[in-house]
Formats: sequence, C-alpha cells, structure tokens
Amino acid sequence: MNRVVAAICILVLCGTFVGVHTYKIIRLNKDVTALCEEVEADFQKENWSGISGNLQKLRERWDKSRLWACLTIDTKEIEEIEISLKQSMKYAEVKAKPDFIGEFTLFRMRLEHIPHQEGFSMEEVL
Amino acid sequence: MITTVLRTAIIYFFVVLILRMMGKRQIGELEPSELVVTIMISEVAAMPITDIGVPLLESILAILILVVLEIFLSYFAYRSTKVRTVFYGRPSMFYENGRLHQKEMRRQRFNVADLMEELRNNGAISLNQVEYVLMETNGKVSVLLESENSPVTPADLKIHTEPARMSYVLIDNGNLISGNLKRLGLDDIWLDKLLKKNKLKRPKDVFYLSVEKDTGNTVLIPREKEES
Repeated sequence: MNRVVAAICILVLCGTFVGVHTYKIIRLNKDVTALCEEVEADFQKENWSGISGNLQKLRERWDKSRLWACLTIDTKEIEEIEISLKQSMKYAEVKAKPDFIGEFTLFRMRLEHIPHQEGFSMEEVL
Repeated sequence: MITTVLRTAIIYFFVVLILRMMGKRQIGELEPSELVVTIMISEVAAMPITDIGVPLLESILAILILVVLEIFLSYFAYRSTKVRTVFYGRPSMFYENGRLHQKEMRRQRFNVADLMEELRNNGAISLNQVEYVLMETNGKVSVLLESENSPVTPADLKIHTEPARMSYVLIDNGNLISGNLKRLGLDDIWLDKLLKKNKLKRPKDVFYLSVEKDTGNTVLIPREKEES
C-alpha cells in the first residue's frame, strides 16, 4: 500500500512538473512570437535599430526561460537556437539584409519547434 | 567529462533507489511486465550517460513513469485475478497424473529435451517419478516428484523436531542494531552484562552477535584486532 501511495505522489509530482514546464514553454513561445513579429515588421521598414533592440529583448526573454528549456530539450537544439540568435544579431549590426532574414527565419522556426515538440500532438506521439 | 561522472553517479543512485522501490519480487524473479520495465529502465538510464546532450531530467521522468506504471500494474494484479491473468498469464501444466499435455508444450515451445533437463535438475530421471510438471508465469519450471520418490522428511519417519527459531543479529561488525534488541525484549543492561561476561567493553569490540528467539541462545564472535 505504501508503495502505491508513493507511486501516486510521484505521479502527481510528475504531472505538476509537466504542467508547469508546458506552461513556461507556451509563455515563452507567446512572448517570442510577439517579438519576432515586431522584428519582421521592422525588417519591412528597414528599421535596423528597432531590429537590434527587439533582438536584444528576444535574447533577454530567452535567457529568462533558458533553464526550463534546458530541462527537457537536447543541448544541441539549445545551442542551435542560441547560435542562430547571435548570428541574427551580428547580421542586424552590419545590416546584411538577405543573411539576416535567412538566419532569423531559421531562428524563429527552431524556437517555434519547442512548444510543438513539448506539447501534445498526435504526430509527435506517433 | 565531469558532467558524465556526475550524471553516472546520479543515475546510479536513482536507479538503485527506483529498483528498491519496485520491491524484492522484481529483483528476484521477473514476470513479463517486470522484464520489460527492467530492460526499458536500463536503456533509458544509459541514454543521458552516453550522450550528454540528452537532458537528465527527461530520462528521470521516463524512469519514474515506468516505475509508477509497474507499481500500479502489480497493485491491480494483486487485487484482481483477471488483471493478473491478462498481464502475467497462468501457469502451464505440461504433465499431470501420467498424462503429457503435448498441446500445451507446443504452445509454450517447450520440447522433450527441455522437459528431460528440468526433470534431471529436480532429481528425477523419468516421467514415471513425477506427479506434475508445470511452467510458472515467470517461466520457471516446477517439477513435483511422486510421493514415493520425494525425499524423506522427519514427518515421514514420525520424528519429533523442534520448530525452527529465528535468530536476530544484534551486533554487525561493531554496529549495534537497536531495533533487533527491542524486538527480542532485551535492553542495554542485558547487553552490558553479556559483554562483561565475555571480557569485552563495548559493542565495537564485537564482530558478530546473534540471539535466538525463545531459547535466548547467543552466538558471539569478538572483533579481531586490525593489524597496523
């Protein structure tokens, strides 16, 4: 009986952890999507200072949730996201338009893949 | 490298504790579901050790879920015969009262050579000497010898024997096991007297001390002095 109680406690803890983790990831995705849209709007207007500012905000937002992401996401994926963000920042600094949009699209895709991977979807399950 | 060392240590202690939580049954004899869980745990546990890119928590979470499922399954199997039959199966009778169940042997892919091997392992040389042969749910084959071929017991010879008595270890390598002392209704005063009687000062001087329940017979082995 004690074992069953312990198992129920573990299950509740696991459930809580999964719930909090999913919430954190969804929040990150929401904030990041909003910032990415701003970056893209700035890109249309060729407002490079706005792009740099928003990229900095993206970096800060990412750093805030980095630990949560690291708990369940492969180090390789985390590194790829960070490299993409750093490269985007550099391209924005030198105003390299085609390089920036290519790298930034990649960064956005990689980041958007996290909630897709962490959330529940039949495709991921299968 | 330090990450690998730390991860290995964490996973080691975690898996040991988890297996301990699963209970003694899982360690001793494996039912199909337990075998699956054991194999899966070993696979999942090895992942973050061999590949440091894999998050440690992901493996821990997967192992926890496996153990929780296993505990729930064994709990329900304990409570319900139907669950037990579905997940653990039923014993298969191969030989019963002079009749060999060939269909059941075929179903379990248990051939005559296997049967003979099991007979020999159980001290029989022919089916004439056995009453039943059955395969348990964990795959172990039980051979029940015919009564005239079974080893003689004191009861057969009508010999009166004393009931087996439990012996409790009170001191293990100088460490006093207080729980056993209480269980036997003894106290420190009794222990001090016993030590003095054997010209010893404290429990640390004893390597092994056990007391038999009911009779109170003791076995005391003093600790040998360590060579410097």
